[in-house]
Amino acid sequence: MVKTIRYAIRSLLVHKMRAALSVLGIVCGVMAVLSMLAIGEGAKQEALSQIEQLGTRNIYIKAISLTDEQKIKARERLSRGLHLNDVRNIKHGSVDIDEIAYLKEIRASLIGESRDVTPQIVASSSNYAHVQKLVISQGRFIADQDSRRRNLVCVLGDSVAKSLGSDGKPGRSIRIEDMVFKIVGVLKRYDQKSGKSSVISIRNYNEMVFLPWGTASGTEQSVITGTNSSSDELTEIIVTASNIKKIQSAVELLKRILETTHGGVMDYQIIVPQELLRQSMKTRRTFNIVLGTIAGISLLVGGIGIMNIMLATVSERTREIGIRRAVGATQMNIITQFLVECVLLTLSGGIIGIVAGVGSVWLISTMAEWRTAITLWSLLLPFTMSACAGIFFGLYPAYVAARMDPISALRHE
Amino acid sequence: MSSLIEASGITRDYHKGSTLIHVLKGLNISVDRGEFIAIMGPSGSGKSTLMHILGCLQSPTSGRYLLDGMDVFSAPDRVRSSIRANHIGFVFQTFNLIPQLNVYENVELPLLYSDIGNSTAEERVLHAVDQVGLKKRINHKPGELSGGEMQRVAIARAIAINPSLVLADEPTGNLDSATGLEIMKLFKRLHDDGATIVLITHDSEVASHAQRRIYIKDGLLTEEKGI
Repeated sequence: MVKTIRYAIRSLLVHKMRAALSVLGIVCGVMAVLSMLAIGEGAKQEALSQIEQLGTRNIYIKAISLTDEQKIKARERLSRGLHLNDVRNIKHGSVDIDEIAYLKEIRASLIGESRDVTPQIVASSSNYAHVQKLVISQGRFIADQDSRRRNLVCVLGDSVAKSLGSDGKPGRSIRIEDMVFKIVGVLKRYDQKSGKSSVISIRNYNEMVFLPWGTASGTEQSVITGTNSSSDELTEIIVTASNIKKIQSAVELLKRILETTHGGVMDYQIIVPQELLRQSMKTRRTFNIVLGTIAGISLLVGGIGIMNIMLATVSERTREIGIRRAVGATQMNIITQFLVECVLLTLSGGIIGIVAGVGSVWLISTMAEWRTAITLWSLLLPFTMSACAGIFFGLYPAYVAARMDPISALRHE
Repeated sequence: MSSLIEASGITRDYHKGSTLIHVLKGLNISVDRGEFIAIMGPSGSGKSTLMHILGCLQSPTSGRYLLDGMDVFSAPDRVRSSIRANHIGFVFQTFNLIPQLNVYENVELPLLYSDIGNSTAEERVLHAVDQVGLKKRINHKPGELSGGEMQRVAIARAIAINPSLVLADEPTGNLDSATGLEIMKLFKRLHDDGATIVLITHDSEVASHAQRRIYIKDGLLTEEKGI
């Protein structure tokens, strides 16, 4: 077999340019398959890491901003939007829930010298860091008593703290609107797992400033004057189900509670990361089918090209076939010889395709900022496919060669 | 001496359009082991067809052909290929070398399909190339050789398997007389070493090297002449 391969390489090298051009189709096909697999795998990994970051047991309820007309209708139905009362109702009405955290975005700004970061000011419940698995690098997070006593304290995100330099450390103070807040903690850098192709937007906690709920928002008279924060309206509620299997029942219950308390007004949105993952996977599957079809067509076209070239080669080498038959080659020997040549051709196309595919995957992830992942499987599959294409499309030319009459072949000019 | 070739009632017909052409018309031939015979006849008399049949490359329309006692045409194609690979060496008028392979590889070709092992094969190739005096040109490709050298390569290829039978179809037909004579000396030496040689030629000078001459005319043996 080693000699057969050696002679096959020798034969292919006789027409280098023809061999190179004939594998172009296979190169494109393999490149497409590899890219498809890498993009699919990258999207899968991204979705999985996102769901992990969002919490596998978490259910997000987000406020939806309404138009003026919708607001009037909402008021008629006694809905006050996403509200602290919703938190209370959920707490009382659900059994499958471990924890509820909530957050409100505040339209206030940090006063001081110009910085690279424009922080988002939020008021949150004291368990928000725990529910979102936020890690404190210095100091502590907001405590219950901060909220109860309306303490003028805050916790900074990593980027905000860094942008403040030495003033961004626990014990120092910052000014929000006309109030001064003492920094009690700084969050550890948050590795945000959302890319361009994310299905769920994840907050950038590095650029946030957390205030105690009671201090900033949770009372009728907020300590921050001049802002819209003097109500119990919420931006987001995060509900942690007691068990991953209880998510569905918890969601059903949440829907019922919110529908009743909001009078059927859809001024909120329930997001279940697991459900989003499922939807994302479904979309990816469709995407994969489309790409897979394109890749399949490329391989088919490439394979037909190879078959065409191999038929021409067989015709050109008729005399050689006659010589080989005369010196004792069986029909199977001839089939093997041409199949080896064809498989070598497609395999070399496969290898070039894999190299080009890795390049194109890198280009896609750089240009489109898509997360991609090349696994062993995504390298082996196109490689095997190219070998199979070689066997499949080489069989007919090899059969034609083997079926030649040795005498006619020897007489061929 | 025992017969290596026993062919009786060999016929071969061709269709040329709607016309049926009878190339061989019930030919009988017997060749002893170690014999050197020349088959002569005018162009179109059926010499080459007979050689192809004797070389198991082409089956007769009817008749019986025993090679070393074996009825080769009742055996499947695979077996006939194995007979060619292990027992028959061919030398053609047009040399029939593979252009992209060098001398060594061309000579090695039948050994790839024979039952001879790799280590013995290398020995055989080198010995055969040495026998035809082309050791120095072993890495050359056919395009770099003269006609006489190419025919020597073809002879080396034929003898590399130590064949029971060497079939040569007009081996000097494409060579000048001096080179042709050299090639015939080579055949003579092979014969002296014990090879059975069937030579096809229309040249009586070439045929004179054989022990026995057989004449074919219109698909039938017309005359046999011994030395």
